[in-house]
Amino acid sequence: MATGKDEGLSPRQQERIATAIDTCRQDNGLDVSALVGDLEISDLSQFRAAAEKLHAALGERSHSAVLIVVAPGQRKVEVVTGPGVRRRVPDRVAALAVMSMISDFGGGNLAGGIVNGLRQIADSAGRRDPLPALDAGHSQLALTQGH
Amino acid sequence: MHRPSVRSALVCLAAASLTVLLSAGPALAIEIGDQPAPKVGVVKTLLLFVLAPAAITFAIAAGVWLPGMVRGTRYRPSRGWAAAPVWFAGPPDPAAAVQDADAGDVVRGGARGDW
Repeated sequence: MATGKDEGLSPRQQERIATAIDTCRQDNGLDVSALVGDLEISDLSQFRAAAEKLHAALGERSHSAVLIVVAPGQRKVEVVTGPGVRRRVPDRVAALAVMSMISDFGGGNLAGGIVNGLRQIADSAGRRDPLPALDAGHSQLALTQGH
Repeated sequence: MHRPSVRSALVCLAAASLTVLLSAGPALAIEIGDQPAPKVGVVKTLLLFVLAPAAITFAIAAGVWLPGMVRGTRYRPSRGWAAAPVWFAGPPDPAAAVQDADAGDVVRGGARGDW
C-alpha cells in the first residue's frame, strides 16, 4: 500500500459520510455506497475493472446501486452505477459529481468532497420512497486479493 | 546684537541637559543611601526572563495547533494513504463478497477522475 503517514478518516469524518449516505437513502430513496481506500491492483488501468467488481460485490443491490470508490493514495475516484439506476443517475451527473469531488480532494478535503459528491448525485436523482436502513453501517475492509 | 545667538544657544543647551539630569535624579537615589532593592537571584532571573516568555510562546503555539490536532489528521494528496479501506453501506461481509463477486457482462455507467 501507500507509504504515507495518514491514519485514515477520523471517526467524525466517517460519521459525516455515513450520515450523508443515510440521507440519500431516506430522502431520495437512492442506494449509494462509498469505499474509501486504495485498491490492490498491479496497474492503475485496472482501476475501473476493480471498481466494477466491488460494485458487483454489492450483490442483489448492485442492479440499482451507486458505488463511489475513492482511492486517496492512488488519487483516483470512480463512480459506478448499476443498470437499474442509470436513468436516475446518468453518466453526465456522475461526471459532474466527480469534478466537484476531485476539486475538494485536491485541496485536502476528503470527507467533505465525498459528502458533496453524494449530495450532488442525490439532488439530481430526485425523490423516491425511502429505502430501509442497512444493518451494517460501515466496515473496515482488508482487500487482500489482487484483482 | 551679534552675541545673543551664542548666549541663547548656551541657555538652550544648559536647559536641555539640566532637564535630563534632573529627571534622572531619582536614579541616583541608591547612591545617596536609600535602601537598595533586594538583589534578584539567578533562579528568579531565569524564571522571569526565560521561563515566562517561553510559557507565553508555548501557550500561543498551542492555541494555533490544538484545534487542528483535535479535528483529526488532514488528508494530504502528496503523502499517500496507509489506512485500510473503509466501505460505507457496503455488503455485510465485504471480504467474502469481493472474493465471490463477478462483474459479469453487465453494462454499468459512471464516471472517473483523478487529482
